[in-house]
Amino acid sequence: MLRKASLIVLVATAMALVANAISPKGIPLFGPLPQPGIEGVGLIGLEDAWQSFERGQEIFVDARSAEQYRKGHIPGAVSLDARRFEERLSSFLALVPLDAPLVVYCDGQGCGSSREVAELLREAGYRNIRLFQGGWEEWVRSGYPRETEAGDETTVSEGQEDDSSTAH
Amino acid sequence: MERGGRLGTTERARWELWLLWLCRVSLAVVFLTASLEKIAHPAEFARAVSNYRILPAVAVNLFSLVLPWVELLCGLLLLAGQWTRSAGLLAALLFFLFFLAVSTTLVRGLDIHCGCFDTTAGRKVGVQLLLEDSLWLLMSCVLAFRADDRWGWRQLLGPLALSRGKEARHAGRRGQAPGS
Repeated sequence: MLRKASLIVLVATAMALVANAISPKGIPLFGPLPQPGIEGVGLIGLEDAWQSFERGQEIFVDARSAEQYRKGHIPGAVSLDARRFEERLSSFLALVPLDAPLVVYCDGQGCGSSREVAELLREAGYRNIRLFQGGWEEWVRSGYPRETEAGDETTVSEGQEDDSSTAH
Repeated sequence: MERGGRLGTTERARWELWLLWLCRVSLAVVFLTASLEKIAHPAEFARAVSNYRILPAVAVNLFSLVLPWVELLCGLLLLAGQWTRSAGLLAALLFFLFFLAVSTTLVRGLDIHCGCFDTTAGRKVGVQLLLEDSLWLLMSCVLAFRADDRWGWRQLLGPLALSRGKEARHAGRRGQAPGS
């Protein structure tokens, strides 16, 4: 039985490699995947996100669940749960003007929610949207300031000034 | 049914064959549906796998490429009733891995798409998915422990093979050629 199971895996591997080699949609076997762009939405990394945060002119939009937002988010970020986008949109529109520059983020690399929210916000009329790809995970790992729903802000790890957490 | 309320050997075999048939066809449908979507969109599926943050980055693409083909082959073998036990064993292994991946994702509180049937959007990882995985894991285990592992037309027929066998034996007792 194990021999047959191994044979199935072996044949599947061979078929996968051949199909990937001849398919126009083939992907690199080991390299990083190209990130697909979203029309009208810029993609930014941690450095750009931090600079936006320091400038304090852009509004960070947290596309994760409300529960995750409560546990911690980028200071000043507005919660817009991707799963409850429709019901939250009207209050978001009342709070954030259509010409406001936005930075949308979710859990981390390609978590999906931020892309979803960015696309929906664009459909809703927002034109100045950027997507922070590294998201919450990269932000926290870099020791940048965090905020809970109660407004408590954590200290910043080495290399960051404590008062930077109040930039927003 | 035999006298005394106990299932006779043939009766029990028939029920078991139907149970095995149900398990293998259900799993075949699940695997075929899931694999074709993943094969058609390899990059999207690789991203979905990457979102689980379980595999090292270097292994994500290769795993994402091979997994759907394993699912496809398992699905075809299960549908045809060939090497059912081996395909069931592989299916059990896969669903065990999926179960671990989904449960650790829930524990870590990640908000991600499961990448199971629709690679671009669709279902998020949640408790319902965990329950479905458990059911499929159970079905796979039934096949891995009880199914036939041979290759042949009798395995393709499944429960029908038993009734054909009975007819043949009955016909033989009446002195007729089987199948006539």
